Amino acid sequence: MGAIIGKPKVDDALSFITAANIKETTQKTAINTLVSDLKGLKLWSKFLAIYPMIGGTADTHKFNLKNPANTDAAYTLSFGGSWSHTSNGAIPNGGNTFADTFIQPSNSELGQNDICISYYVRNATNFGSLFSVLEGGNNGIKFELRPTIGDGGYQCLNNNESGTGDGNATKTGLLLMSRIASNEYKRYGRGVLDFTYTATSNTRLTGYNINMGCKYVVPSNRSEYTAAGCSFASIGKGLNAAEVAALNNIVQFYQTTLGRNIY
Amino acid sequence: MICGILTFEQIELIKGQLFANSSHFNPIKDIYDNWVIFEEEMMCDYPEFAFVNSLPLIEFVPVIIERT
Repeated sequence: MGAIIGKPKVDDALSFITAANIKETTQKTAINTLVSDLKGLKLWSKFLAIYPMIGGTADTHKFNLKNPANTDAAYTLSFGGSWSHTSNGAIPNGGNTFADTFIQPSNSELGQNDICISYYVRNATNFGSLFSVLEGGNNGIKFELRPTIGDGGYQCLNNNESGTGDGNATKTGLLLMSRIASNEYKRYGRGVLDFTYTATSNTRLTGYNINMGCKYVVPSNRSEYTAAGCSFASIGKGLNAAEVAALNNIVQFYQTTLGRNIY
Repeated sequence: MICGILTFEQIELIKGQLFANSSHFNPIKDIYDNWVIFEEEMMCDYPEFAFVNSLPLIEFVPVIIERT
């Protein structure tokens, strides 16, 4: 990756670099290339939020590349609990860490059958949820990582959470779930399809935010905290297989530029 | 993983409050019903929450989650 198609604007990269106070040349280059590549391959408009997890502090990791204003309305992350923030990204402790995205499943930019969430996992150390928001009946969103258990996971993307037998899915790199149809959604690892879930979508959950790093059952019950370090995350419109492969290449190049790729 | 035990009064003081820029406390219960916080939260520099730097420490044992 790195080749720029067309003539993308760099304003978005500059806005983020300024907001997050990114000083290092390598990091600036990585952000510029990330924005250029996403625009060049026509993926930029697919995202509501992109969290590059760059700069090494909570103050830099919280910013949304798509809208780097320091407000909840811009989907700036709010970290809860004892995260470690390093040059590798945001590292949860698996005990009490989560981040509020301020994005609701019912967001007008997303659709019941048009949503994708991703998380670049550095280390699959425990069972836990990468993203979640669920109502009591378990309708909602849940993106789970089961590093050592092969007997199935509990996932959902605008449907009812249920066991799925996907425990052997890819554990590290860019993990992603995407729904672009009413009757199924897909899980990808490192750009490759891991699992297709046959599940009809429900009316989207409203009034509550998608949380990163835990299972979040509304209104206030958080559990299943992950310890999987995050070097990139995103929430946006649904992606097809070709778009997922392209995104994976872009993100992998981004991580390689920063010297923190895990494969 | 080491955690610090909070009293009920201390929980009320810190719940939802910032312990550093862009980061807020998230007390949780361990398997023994203790309310606890973890390392980064116990390194808070804000004087009003200085008590978190000297909480009694224990090994964290998480609540066991039953999957159905």
